[in-house]
Amino acid sequence: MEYYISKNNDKEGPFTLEELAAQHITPDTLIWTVGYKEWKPAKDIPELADIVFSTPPEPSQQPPMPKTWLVESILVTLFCCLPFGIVGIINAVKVDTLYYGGKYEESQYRSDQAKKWTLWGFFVCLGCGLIYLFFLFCAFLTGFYFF
Amino acid sequence: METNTCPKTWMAESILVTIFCCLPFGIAGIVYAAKVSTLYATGKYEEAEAASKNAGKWTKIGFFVGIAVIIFYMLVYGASF
Repeated sequence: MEYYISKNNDKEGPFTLEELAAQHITPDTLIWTVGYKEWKPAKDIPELADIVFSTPPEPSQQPPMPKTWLVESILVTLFCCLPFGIVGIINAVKVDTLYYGGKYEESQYRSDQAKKWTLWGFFVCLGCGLIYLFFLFCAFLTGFYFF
Repeated sequence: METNTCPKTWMAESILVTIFCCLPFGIAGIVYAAKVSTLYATGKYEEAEAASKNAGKWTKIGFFVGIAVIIFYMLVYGASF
């Protein structure tokens, strides 16, 4: 069986299983061989399991730090919605600590959570503000009508 | 040297202080509290310990400032009776 690998969008190969082992592939390296409809990550290919999980991960592949959302979540906590804002802050703080601890996937997950809660807090506040304005407006109209 | 027990995160206390006592200092407490468990989980025990101390410091400051403000208001408005 001959395998092709995709590194940084460049196709390399073909490699035999032994040669593949020397390529230091990771669980997420995309692999293709005859019979596949599309590229598959190495972790989905049973016969590569031994190779994938016994080579050390590439130390140079450091993804950029995801957005922490710290400033936004603090603003939302102060001015919009305290509960959601606090959850946003907690996740935001975890983003950079996890990143510097090397846990890039968890860092990205926390960034997505921070974004979710911060935006929720912002829109909940906006919604409440609009409903409040609407009631004020109605009260204004009916008050005016009574005069 | 204690390296295996997670230091106190002060998470619950800092959230309570943020909601009921003093928002700015409480938020500082939450920020450090969130750092404690993450630093500990990534193996940085000394930094987790330092973050825990900071979390405790700001939470307590927020708590006492909040209490002081509440007492101040009670005195001012209480005096108007």
